[in-house]
Amino acid sequence: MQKYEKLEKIGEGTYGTVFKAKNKETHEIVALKRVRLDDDDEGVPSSALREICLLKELKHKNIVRLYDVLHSEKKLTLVFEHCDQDLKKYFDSLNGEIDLDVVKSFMYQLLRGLAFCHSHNVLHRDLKPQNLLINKNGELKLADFGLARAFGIPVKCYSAEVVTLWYRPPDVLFGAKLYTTSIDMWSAGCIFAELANSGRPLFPGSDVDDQLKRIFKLLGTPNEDTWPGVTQLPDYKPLPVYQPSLGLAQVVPRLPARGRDLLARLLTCNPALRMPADDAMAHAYFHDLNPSVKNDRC
Amino acid sequence: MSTTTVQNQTKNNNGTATKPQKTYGKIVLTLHNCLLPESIFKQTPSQVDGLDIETETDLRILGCEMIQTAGILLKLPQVAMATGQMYLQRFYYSKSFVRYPMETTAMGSIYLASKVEEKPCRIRDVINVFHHIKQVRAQKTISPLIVDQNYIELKNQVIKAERRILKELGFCVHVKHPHKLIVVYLQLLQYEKNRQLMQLAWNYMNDALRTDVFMRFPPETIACACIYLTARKIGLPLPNNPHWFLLFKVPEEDIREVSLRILQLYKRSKVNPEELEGKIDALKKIYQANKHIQAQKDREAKAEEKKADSPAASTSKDSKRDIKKEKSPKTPPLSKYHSSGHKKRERRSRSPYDRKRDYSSKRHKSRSRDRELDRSRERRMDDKRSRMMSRKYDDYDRAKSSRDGRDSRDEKRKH
Repeated sequence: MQKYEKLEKIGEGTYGTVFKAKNKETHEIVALKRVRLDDDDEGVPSSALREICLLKELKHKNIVRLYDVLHSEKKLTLVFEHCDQDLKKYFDSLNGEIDLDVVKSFMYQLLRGLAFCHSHNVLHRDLKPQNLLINKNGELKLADFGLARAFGIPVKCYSAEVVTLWYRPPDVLFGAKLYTTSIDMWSAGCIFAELANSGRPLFPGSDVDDQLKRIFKLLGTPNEDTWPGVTQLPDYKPLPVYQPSLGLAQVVPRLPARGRDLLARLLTCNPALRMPADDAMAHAYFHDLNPSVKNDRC
Repeated sequence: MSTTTVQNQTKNNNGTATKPQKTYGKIVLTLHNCLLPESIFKQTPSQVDGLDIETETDLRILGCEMIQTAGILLKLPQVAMATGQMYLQRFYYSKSFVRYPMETTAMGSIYLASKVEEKPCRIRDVINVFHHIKQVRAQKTISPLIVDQNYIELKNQVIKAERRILKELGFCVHVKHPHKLIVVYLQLLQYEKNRQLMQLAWNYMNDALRTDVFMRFPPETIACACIYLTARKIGLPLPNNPHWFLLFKVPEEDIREVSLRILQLYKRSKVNPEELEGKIDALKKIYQANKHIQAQKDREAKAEEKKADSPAASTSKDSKRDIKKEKSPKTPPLSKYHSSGHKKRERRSRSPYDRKRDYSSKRHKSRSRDRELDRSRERRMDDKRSRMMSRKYDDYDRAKSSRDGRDSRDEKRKH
């Protein structure tokens, strides 16, 4: 602990306080996430456990690096790579509209980070702008793996509280017990639209019903033809039948046609048809991506 | 883990990947990094502390058995029990049974495994279940565990054990179990409909958790060995031209080695927990005495050095310092736990748990009586539950021992 000098408090994480700190030897700036152990009498919190054992092994340019775990009598401190801000703060700091090249770059990096997680059998399960960190070089990193898990056999949905409501896919909203990488792809789609609209959330629902209505107003209410098995989902309820009225062009006016095509493939209600991350990276929308972003691997 | 990844990983490990490897960092969610070199088996930390190999093996078996039984009583999925047993086994290749009591580690293991496998249970339940198992084992009348200072102390020990395991395993808590491989392999061999084959292979696998094969061989080899053993047992000929296991790139001598190690398990006589405890206690005393002597020696050496450093040793300051130093040796061995005991007690009294109790006993007599009633009702429920559990446990045990017995007889005949 003496290795780091605390500079300031950054925020409260899911299970502990996050500080900005400086490594006294290397002068490197890091983020310290402190997990208090003494006031929790159930041992090490599961979320901290997940974060440590998954992030320890996920080393990628677009995933926040866990450098070290410091272990002491009363607390556990996770030492993370420090990023200047998260995507939400980035939106707040925008003056006017976001640059469309930035949208493309961020989206590509998000997909690349996700593809890496998924290829290593890890689901993030809580993607939202607050959990995407941005540094000065315009690099985007996935963070907060407190809800993430390694998956093998189809993963069970243990709690409906997986994924913040606004970014939760319709299958999970209907109480789907089994889900896989498609859960993260829906969230990625929502974030894509939010990026293109300079930070305006796509489906800011107030509860599960409202959330579903907002989704279906845009995409049309699914039925057994468009999504076989939808009516068998545990929490399925018949909702007003909306026709896919609004075109995506009206929802994300600034996004070019190829971008809208990608968005439509990510925002697909039927999880089986939702586009996976590596396919999304190969989508025509990214053909003219700045090569420096594309080739920049870890 | 899906089959394709399994195969990819094996390919990568053999260095024969045909696809250009992504330049991404490597993740190892497999057991491959948990295979230990032969030198560690020859001199385990417990052996360094003077424990003989047979006793150590017995302790491992007993610990794994307790985790398995506790998991059944806690209604955990089998994968949690398997993971917990792996933690216990791995832990004792870096720490000694003499210094860290098996039972606490077993409790910490199953508790941690229940969290990792996303079916978390409460520490309280873990402690209760272990208490119950021990009562059944000693054939005592079943009585619930009383919540007292001892209980709180035990709970703290379990929390500590959990963290110690995490630290020793370097937070590598994901275990790749070969159970799924058995299913996949039998599917490939088109035997997936043979329930007996599948079930028996799976039984061998669960028993194998009590041996050291998981630290010696990759899961693919163990999966093949379990199928191999089962096929022999039920007299089912598997393709041998070429041999079926070559399909999974597992050499026959490894399969034989694993099979032998599993079979040896059934030849062992039943573990006597009291005897094991006695042996550990004796060694612990020696260890503590040694530690004490060593500490004293260190102090003397330091004092010598000090004297040599400052020729004017007879100044009052120095003598004071010496007195201070002489006081410290009285800290008992295993001072890690004892010396901090004072602090701990302070902390504990501040815990909400204690406060609640004080509150009820001092000020609200009536409420405390209510609670007393509640508690007795709860106790009765606990009793009932534990009786039910014990029946279940007995059944389980009977089934188990009869199976084991049959196994060992069969094997003897074969040999």
